[in-house]
Amino acid sequence: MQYLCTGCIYMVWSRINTRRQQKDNVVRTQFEHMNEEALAEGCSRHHEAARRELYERYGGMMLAVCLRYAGNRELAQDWMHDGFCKIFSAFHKFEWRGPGSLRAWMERVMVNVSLQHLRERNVLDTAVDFDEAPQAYEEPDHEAVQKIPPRVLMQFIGRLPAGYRTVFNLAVIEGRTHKEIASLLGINERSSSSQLARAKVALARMVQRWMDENETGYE
Amino acid sequence: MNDELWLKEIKRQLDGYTEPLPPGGWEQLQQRISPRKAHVMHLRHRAFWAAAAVLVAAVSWMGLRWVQQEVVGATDLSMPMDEAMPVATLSEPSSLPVSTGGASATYTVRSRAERLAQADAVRNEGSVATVTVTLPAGEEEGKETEEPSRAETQGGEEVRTRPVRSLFSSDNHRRSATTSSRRHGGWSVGVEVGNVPSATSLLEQETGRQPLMDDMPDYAGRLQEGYAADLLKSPVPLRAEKCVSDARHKWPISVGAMVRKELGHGWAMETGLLYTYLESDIRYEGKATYVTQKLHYLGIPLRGSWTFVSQPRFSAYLSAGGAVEKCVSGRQDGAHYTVKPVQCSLTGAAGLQYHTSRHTSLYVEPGVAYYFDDGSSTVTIRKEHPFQFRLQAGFRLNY
Repeated sequence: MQYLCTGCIYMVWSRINTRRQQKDNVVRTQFEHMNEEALAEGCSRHHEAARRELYERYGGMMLAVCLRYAGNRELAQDWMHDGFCKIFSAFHKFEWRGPGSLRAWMERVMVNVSLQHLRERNVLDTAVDFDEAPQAYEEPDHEAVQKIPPRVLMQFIGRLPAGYRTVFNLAVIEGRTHKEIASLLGINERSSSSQLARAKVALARMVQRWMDENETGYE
Repeated sequence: MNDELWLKEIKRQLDGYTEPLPPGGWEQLQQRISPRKAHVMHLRHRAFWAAAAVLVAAVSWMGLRWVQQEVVGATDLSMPMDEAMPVATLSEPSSLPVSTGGASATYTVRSRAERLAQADAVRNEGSVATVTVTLPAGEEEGKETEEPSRAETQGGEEVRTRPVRSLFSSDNHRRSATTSSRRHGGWSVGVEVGNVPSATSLLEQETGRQPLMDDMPDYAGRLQEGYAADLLKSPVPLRAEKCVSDARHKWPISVGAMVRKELGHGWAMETGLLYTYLESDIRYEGKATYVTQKLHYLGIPLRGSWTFVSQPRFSAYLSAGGAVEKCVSGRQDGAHYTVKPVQCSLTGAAGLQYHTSRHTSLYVEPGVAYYFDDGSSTVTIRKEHPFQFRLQAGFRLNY
């Protein structure tokens, strides 16, 4: 009798549990196949499943953005989570304007969060002699750069000093002018230009060294 | 700004580049993005902890209160245990002459106030010999068993009163230690040692006097009425079988092997095999010496539990269930003795558990248990105290 009761209770409980899991899976599946606009709509309504889908779909890219500025993975993860907190809290301000607008908006938020953290660390205007690099340098062949894996390029950028790295990201990756960079970082335009030049030199040397070590065959 | 081709290539390669997300990253983020929910959950957990503490205290208080009000002994021990007690309803007191054992005696059914007056003035009773039936009680803690005090009436009948057994009598406690049940998912196997303190009245301790019928107003009255009514039906002496006049119960001991299955969402079921040892010293009517009664029970318990608070170090849960036990062996006064009917019981408890490590934990589990009358004439601590407050504390191994 006892075992029969146990069995009945277990069957009932299993059924309830299965239904709950199915419901959760259905909700998650809904958002998995949603486009950017629908996903943004779900996040603006604070759907937990939509937020999770947004994190899993774009989190890797946002982490890469933060890593380019932080140069350190642990810092990058913290900054990324800070960025997502700001994104989720400010979703009511986002207006979907076409494919890619959500990602672009999120990347801007991530960049701003990264810059804020860099300002707090007070490392943006630090000029560091980087192996006494000459002003002139041999530009690497762009075809050779194609052979370099993106993660290696990320490592090269991560090795740059914080100031050089930030200016490089804003100027080359984000496409900002020196005037805008100077305004963002609180430095003058000449300092921005100087740091960018030094960053290019250092990066070029790293690219060249890698090509020499790996003998990519472009010779 | 001149856009070198190699820089453009770098930009192109890093466009859309993704890094692997950290493991558990979403869970970490979830805790940060929903501080309000976390706050609500924190408040909910605190509410649960408060509810758990209140529940534990309430169960303990209820058990103690129930124990204080409980009638000690289901029946008058001078009567056969397995006889049904008829209840006679009388609108007015009446004196009914009956005969028993060759001696004349008049059993008077009285109202409550009259019984009180009768108890106080029993020695001064007139021509009516009255048997005042008081409820048997146990022994006081740390004291030797007292002989029932007797006051003879003019009719030669005896007024028997007995001291009340104290709640935490040393004779009626048994220790508990419980080991092994699983903490996280799947199955677990454990060994349990159980302990149930008996339930007795604190009346004598509080008032310094023996309980009289006025303290247990209705039960004793019905008892007397039924006794008188039964005597009316049959003039044959009631003492046709061996009757127990006194019983001293020793600490019961339970040992069991339990299997626990986690059902998810805090629910779990537990069953196994339970061994209980009951020992009592019994004196039968007309005998001067006590005989030792030793009973061995095997039973199958079944319990369900729900963990409503689960923290890294603490958890609180509710459990309820029952058990079916059968006496598989016994001895009384050296001779083989057994109890044929099965013993059923219901239990309920609220527990607090402290996780000392990943695989070990300590717990305390106050609760209550009710033992159904098995219908036998065997006197055990469960027969006398069917509703008991219990406190279990032990050690669990989890894997």
